[in-house]
Formats: sequence, C-alpha cells, structure tokens
Amino acid sequence: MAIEKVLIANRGEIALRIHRACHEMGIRTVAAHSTADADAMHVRLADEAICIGPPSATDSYLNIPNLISAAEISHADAIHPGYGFLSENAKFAEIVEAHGIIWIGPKPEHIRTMGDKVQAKRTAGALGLPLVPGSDGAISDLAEAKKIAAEIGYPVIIKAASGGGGRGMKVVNDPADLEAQMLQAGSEAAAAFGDATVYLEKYLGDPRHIEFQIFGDGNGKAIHLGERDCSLQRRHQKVLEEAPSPVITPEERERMGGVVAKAMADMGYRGAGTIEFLWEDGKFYFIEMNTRLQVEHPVTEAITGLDLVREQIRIAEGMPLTLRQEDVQFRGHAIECRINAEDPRTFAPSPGTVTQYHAPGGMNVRVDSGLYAGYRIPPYYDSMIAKLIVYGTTRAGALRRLRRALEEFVIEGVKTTIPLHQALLDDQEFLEGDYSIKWLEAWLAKQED
Amino acid sequence: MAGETRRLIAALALVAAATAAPAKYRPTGADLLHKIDRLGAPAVLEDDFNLDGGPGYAVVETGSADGVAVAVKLLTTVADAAYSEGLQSSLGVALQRHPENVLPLVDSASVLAADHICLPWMIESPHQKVRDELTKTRAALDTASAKAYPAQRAACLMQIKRAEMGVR
Repeated sequence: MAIEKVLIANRGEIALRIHRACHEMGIRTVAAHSTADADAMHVRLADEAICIGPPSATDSYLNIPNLISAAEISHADAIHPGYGFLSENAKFAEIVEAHGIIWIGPKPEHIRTMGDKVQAKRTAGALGLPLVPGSDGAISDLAEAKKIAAEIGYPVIIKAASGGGGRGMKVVNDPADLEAQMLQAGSEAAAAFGDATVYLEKYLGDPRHIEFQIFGDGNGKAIHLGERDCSLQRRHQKVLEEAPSPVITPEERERMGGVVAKAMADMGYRGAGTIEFLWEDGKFYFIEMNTRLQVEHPVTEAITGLDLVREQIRIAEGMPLTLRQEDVQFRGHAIECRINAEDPRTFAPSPGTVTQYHAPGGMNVRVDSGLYAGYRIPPYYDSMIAKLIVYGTTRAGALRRLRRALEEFVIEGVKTTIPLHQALLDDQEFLEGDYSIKWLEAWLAKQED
Repeated sequence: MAGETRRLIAALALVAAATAAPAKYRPTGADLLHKIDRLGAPAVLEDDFNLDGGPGYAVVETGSADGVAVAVKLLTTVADAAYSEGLQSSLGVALQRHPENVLPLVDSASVLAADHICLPWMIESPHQKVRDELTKTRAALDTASAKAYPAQRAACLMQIKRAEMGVR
C-alpha cells in the first residue's frame, strides 16, 4: 500500500532527515512536536504540524494517545518513530498497527525479542551469531569455573548475575587468582544486589565496536550493508563513526555480513536493524541488536548509495528490497563527526543561542542538523546539534575532506566539539585507524597532562 | 451479652473488610528484583513502570540498594528509550537520598551517563523548584559517602552547573 502521509514522531535532526526522504518520495509529512520545538526546522518545513504536548518527553514524544490522535486527526497513514523515544517500544508499534496505521519499523515481536538483551542473546545464539564465550548461566563451583576458564582462555571476567553498572565485576588474568576473585565478586554482588550469584565470560581487554547494518523485507529476504566502526567513544557515547572499518577486510565483511543477513532472513526480520559486535583479534562477539535506524546511518548511505530512510518507507509499503546482496557495492570511505554543544576540552555543556551558523559544503560533504542562526539550544535535551559526514574514494581522502570541512564549519554563540575533531585529525594513531573503544578516553587523558 | 457483643464485633469487622478500599499495591525493591527474575525485565517495565507512571518509580526513588538495582537492571537489560527517561530521573532522586548507592554507577554504561542520572528531570519545573532540586543534589554530593567517588562526583557537579545555566 502506497504511503501518502507520514507522521514523524520525533524531533531534531532525525525528524528533519525523515521529512527530507518523505518529500523526495512525494509523501506529505506531519511534524508531531512539543511546545518547546514549535520553532524547530522540521516543524517549519513539514506540510502540517501538530503540537502533542509540553516539553517533557513523557507528555509529548512518549505520549502514545496524543501521537495516535495526531495521526488520526491529520489522516496520516504511517508513523515513522526515528530513533530513541518510542522507536523500540513494541507496545507502541502494536497500537499503531491496531489503529490501521502503517508502522515504519520492524515487526513488534522482533522489537520485543531484541529489546530484551537476555532474550536477544539467546535468539542471536540460536540464529548462529557468535556470542562472548562463557558459562551458560550462574556458576558456583570452582572446579567448573576453572574448567570453563581454561576452555575459553584467560583473561576471563566474573560478573554479577543481578548486576549492572560495573559492580561485582572482576577480571582474572591468572588461574591462580580465580578462586579469590570469584569469592570477592560474589560478596560484592551480594552487598550491591542482595544476590551473590555470578557467571563467567571471556574478557575482551581492548576491543573495537563494529556494527553491521541490515535490512529485511519481512518475508524471509535480508541483506547486509556492510559495517560501521564506532569505536571512538567517550563515556560510552559514540563520537565519530566510519565505514568501512579500517581493520575489517573485504573477506571478513563478506563472511560476517553473510552470517548476519542469513540470521535476519531466518528470523523474517522487517526493515532496518543494526547488529552490534565487539571485535578483538579478528573475532566478532555479539553485543545487541538495535531494531531501528542509527544516528550514524549516513556513513552507510555514503558508501552504498542507498537512502536508508527511503528503504524503510518502501519496506513498510510492502515493496521488496531495492537491492539484492549481489547488487550491494561498497565504494570509498565515509566518516561522521557528532558535533555537540559542549566545551571541547572539559565537555561542559554549552547551551544557548546560535548567533552565526555556516555549514560546510562542497563535493561529498553532508551536514544533518536542524540548526540556524537564532536557534536556541535548550539546556536539557541531548547536546548533539549536528552531524558532519564526509565521503572520499579512500580513507585518506575522506580525512583530508573532513579537515577542510571542519575548518569551514562556523557555529557561533555556543561552544562546540569541532576543535576536538580537529585535534583528532592531528593524531597519527587515529589517522592510521589504530584505535579501540578505550583509545579516546586515554587520548583525552593524555591531552590533559 | 458477651456472645452478642462478639457477634456484633465480628459483623462490623466483616462490613469493614467488605467496604475497605483495596490495599494499594506498593512493591518493594526486593519484590521487583524477584519479579524481574521470574517474569523478565520487559514485563516489569510494562506492569510497574508504564509510561503514565507506576509504583516502580517510587521504589527506585527511595535510593535503597534494591531500588537502585532494579533501575540498573531495567536500564541495562532492555533497549527501549521510552522508559529510560523516567528511570534515569528516578535515579537522580535516589542520588539525593543515597548517593553512595548511585554514584558508583555514574558513567559506567551509556544509559548510566552523568547527564542522565545525576539529576531528576526538571525541564518544565519553575526555576525555584529547579534550584531547590539542585541544592538537594549538591548537599548529597557534599556528604562524606559521596566524596568517596571523586570522578563520579565531579561529573555530577558538572551536571549541576549545566542545569544552573538554564535557570539563570
């Protein structure tokens, strides 16, 4: 069924991104917005705008009755959730479909399964995706722990079964330390969570974060669109992403991409998804699956030439995948910098009014942002204000283009992380692609010394 | 006479029991942890932390070790941004009461980043209310138990500064 009008249930740059794809497809848009976003760029550009509540997300972007009412009042025949907010809420997806509105996203049951990380790992394992090896559940017997640790190889990590947030975790490098560390982890877990149960896993000391973009048609066909390397992170937040990864060979891409695409085909997955892995010493270990579009999707678009939002909409309309796997060609290299309204040295937030704004341009330079001169960046929302994406036929070319684009980028009135990205471009290890998920934190600490 | 009195008391007790409002469901942190183990995190989110509110948020806000563990378990095992804001805001309240239970978590995972869990959600609050909340959080961060976590404490103090910019 052809979609004629899409309600965009999101805000910021992703709302603008969805609006643009819709308009290029001849689809009208409805911006559902909070009172705080009445002047946002996507609200200005949308065909219709409906205020769905006050600034608090609970009362607006998470308010299901208001969103459904907005869709019904405006006669929107589809809802695009973007990322965040309700994009991974299976109940919302079900409610949307129950109202006869097209949900531009995966099947609710897949959102539910993959949203529960325990269930997701079980499903991923059953679908043949590689998991971090370890004990299959709780472990209390030392002899069994020693046997498993010997099988998977040291170092291993002991984790609290009820845990989270790093408490009750112990890294064991030497078999002689295993007993003492198990006892200590158990007592820490008992103190923190009231449950001394622990389990054991292979410890990955210095991995990279590599994720595969996939698309499924919901009828047993699925393709992969290669990987993105999102290892440059600060406090677990991605700072810069690139595609392809500097360390993945075409053979590895084809092999692992084939594994994830087959898994998604077997599952009957529909729409866009991302399978995240940790990668170390040439091996992939499944972390989780995101059943939505990712912030960093433009780097995949740049190297494949496929508009991922357009593809999401086509699949929601019941169309087949645009490309077969053999048609997907990876060309060149793309890098995305997340520009935040923060002090580039201390990372102190810098909300305020943008007094001057000039986005870089030229060949193969893309800026996804809702900024304009006079826009007031609110102090409470996410501090990401723009994404700068560059493409080059080689990684070296993309890096040169990135340097030039960052020099051109003007955002005045607030502090931004543009200087951080410029400083990264002066680092030899970064230029050589020699980094892991721990690299940026260490690099920042060195800059402070 | 004594028999009649007993019967009257028994009858009154029956009437009272029949007309009393049903006991309000007030789970404890331990109850919720047990429920997560039994039914899984998504079910607990839908039952006790639904999008219109739910009894679970008050449990987290006590700041008890169990309450905080519930929030951490839900935030780290379910990938659904719809619930994150409420849970993270509740951890901000929990920090004001028991910083020693919340501070060790700060920045240990993306969903537990300082900008998410150091402060309660206050976007719509009147400026005086925001200032009051910031004062409470600052007081909690000035306790000896909070000072045992200097890096996390500094990260939360930065969030206070950020919030103060919004109410100048």
